[in-house]
Amino acid sequence: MYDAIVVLGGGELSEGRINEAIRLYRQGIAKYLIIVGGKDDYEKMYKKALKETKNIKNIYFDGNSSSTIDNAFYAKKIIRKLNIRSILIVTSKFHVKRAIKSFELFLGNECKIDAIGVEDNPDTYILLKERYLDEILYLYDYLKGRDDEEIKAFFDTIEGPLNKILKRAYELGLMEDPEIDK
Amino acid sequence: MANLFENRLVKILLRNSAIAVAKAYRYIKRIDVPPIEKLKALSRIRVNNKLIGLYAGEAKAVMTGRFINVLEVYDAKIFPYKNVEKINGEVTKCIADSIRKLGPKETIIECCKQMAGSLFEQEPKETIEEYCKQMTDLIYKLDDKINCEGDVEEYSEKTRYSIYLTEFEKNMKERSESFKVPRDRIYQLIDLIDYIQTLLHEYTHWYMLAGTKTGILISQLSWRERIDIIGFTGLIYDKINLGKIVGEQFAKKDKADIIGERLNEGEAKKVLANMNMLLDELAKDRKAIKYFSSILSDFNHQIKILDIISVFIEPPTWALVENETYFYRNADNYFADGDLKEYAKRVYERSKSLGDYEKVVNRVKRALQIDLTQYSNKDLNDILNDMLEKFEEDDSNLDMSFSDVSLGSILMDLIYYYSKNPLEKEKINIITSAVIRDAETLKYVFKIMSRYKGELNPHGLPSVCSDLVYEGRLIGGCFNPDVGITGDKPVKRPFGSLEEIVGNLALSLKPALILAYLYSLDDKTDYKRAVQKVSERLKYLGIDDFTKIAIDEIKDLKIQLNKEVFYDITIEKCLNNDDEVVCEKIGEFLKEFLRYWIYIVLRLGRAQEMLPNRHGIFIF
Repeated sequence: MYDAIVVLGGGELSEGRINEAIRLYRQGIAKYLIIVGGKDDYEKMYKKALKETKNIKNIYFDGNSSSTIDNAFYAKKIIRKLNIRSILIVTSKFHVKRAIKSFELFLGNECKIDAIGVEDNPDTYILLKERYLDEILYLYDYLKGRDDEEIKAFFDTIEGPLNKILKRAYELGLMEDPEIDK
Repeated sequence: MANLFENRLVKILLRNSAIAVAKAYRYIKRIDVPPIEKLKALSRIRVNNKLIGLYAGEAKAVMTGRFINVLEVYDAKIFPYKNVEKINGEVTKCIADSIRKLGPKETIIECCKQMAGSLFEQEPKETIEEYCKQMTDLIYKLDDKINCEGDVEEYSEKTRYSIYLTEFEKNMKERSESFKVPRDRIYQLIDLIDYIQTLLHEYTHWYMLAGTKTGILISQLSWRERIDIIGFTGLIYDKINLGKIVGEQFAKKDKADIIGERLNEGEAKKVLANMNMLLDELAKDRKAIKYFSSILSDFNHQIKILDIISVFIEPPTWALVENETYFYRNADNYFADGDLKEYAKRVYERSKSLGDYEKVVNRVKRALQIDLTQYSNKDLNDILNDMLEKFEEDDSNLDMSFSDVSLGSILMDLIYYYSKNPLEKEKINIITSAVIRDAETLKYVFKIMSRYKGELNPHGLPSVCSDLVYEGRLIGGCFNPDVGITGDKPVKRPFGSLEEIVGNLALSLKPALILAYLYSLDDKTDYKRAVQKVSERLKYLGIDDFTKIAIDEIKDLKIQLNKEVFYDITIEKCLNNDDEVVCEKIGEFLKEFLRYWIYIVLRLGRAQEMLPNRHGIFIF
């Protein structure tokens, strides 16, 4: 049992994630359902959750995210408000590791964090990108203990450039270049 | 007071071996790392307007950030292979492996044994060992004797070599009737021992700083300097594209400037006159002024720290690895300020009495564990007193709680620093744009990113760069324990240093600024000396008119450089308080400085890269 299920928006992958979150919520494993995503995601996800659970009182949402770090940052505000002590994150399977690390960064020991990954079909770029981001997840540890706003400012600075570099590397075929991995 | 400051700057610039600054993340606990934002506090430490060493006087090595840069040019023939990177790596590893077991002199002999094989191919190992021992003994003994007998300046390198040779041959003949080794081999042996000695000296500086809070602070500052230089040069490229102005034969138009063939005096002056309006506009551009102010501020931070650490790094190193007279021959050059010299003397004498290499190094480390960011309200003497107290504490109180701090954490702190101000944040975007603009650059950076999967320096060695003469050419390269060899041959990449992702103009910015500072002083003596030193290096590239360029031609341009712009208070007023008048003053200076820098670049062409300075942390 968890206090809340936190489902993360993910563009085209959002549908699979919200379906799984609703399925779990209906099983009664959590009191609250929290939806965090971007402005294009959250509304559809919220409407669907509302329609299928009919529990407007216990469904919360935030639509300000543009990254996983944002998901954790904005979810924390709701988690704090509701005095939640345990969460189950619902996201895509490939994204679980980074999602947990991001939530841990903000929530630390305040909250028990588990995650469940939905099997879906992300495109090649997303999968390859995740592989590289996984490799620098250890850097998150250096940010532990900083204020939430500072952490967010840090990622706001680095995220755009990093995405640009990865995207361009993908376009040039570098992500799949075996020489690069050596 | 200003004269005192200037004098001290010059001393710093012209001293034998520049200060050690170091790699500094290996041992310290994460929690001990001073956040970068606290660096501002340093601006209240006594201001002295000195700028970091452009080159190291008669010579040896410079360390900035976490790499050692050997500026002395040795003949690469003394080594068994051409790769400078490999040479640096092997000598450094040898020193690191030996110094704690064997002590300084035996380390030199050991490393000489390892490296001297190719000089004496026909000789058995035992004989080579004997040569190394004999010559090292002689250098230790005779250097003191030579220096004590009179003015060192009287002894040319040739005389010195000849004294060693005579003594060496005498010693060896006493041991064997048949001794006969060509003279040039003996000279190369002297060069080899000198080279190892230079690296040992600088390694000791590095070892003292490595892992200390001061070391980390310096690492952070070095990275900040790199990013600021990239940001500023990127901006200059956008505003003044030399390729468009001069033509593609000089600089590419489609990316940051890659400088080509040099222009003659008339052409360069014409180009400079044509870009006058552009320079006027730039001098009024607030972003350019702020970016430039950041660079000035970086320099000042480094100088202040340099002042502080030199007292605790130089004298103990001299006590450990140099001969008896070294301190007395060099103290005045290093410590022009009487107070500093007194502190230095005390640290030297204490180090001498301690004697043991590891013991002295640990004492220094303890002094350097002080958190300089917490000293905003204290003056230099208070800081030095506190450090001296730490240095002199009994070893039983030794509390060296070092653990892991990685380059990753330093970079994270830096990104955080840049994230706080939109103007600063743009510098990260400038770097990103430069990285993705060129496929080869991206490939290289991406490769490095992929390789860094954990802590970044498991080997515990400094990066070492040097320039050697090989068949009449100046060749350079760096050994970097984090990423392997980083010279231009083994790693295929379109740039030699991270700064160059915005064009190779970036690396000449700092040396040009330092020269400009010296030029701004009323007395041009030190400027002329600095120019002379730079000229000596440039001659290896076939540039034999740098003195004329930097003195006569610059004079003709009537460049007006206001030295007050280098004062901390001026920089702070513009950088942090947006003081209109002061920013305008910096803008005027910026224009004049750009005239100076660009003119030098136009006249040197691609040789401008060889203005002797590698700055920041030469990691990739």
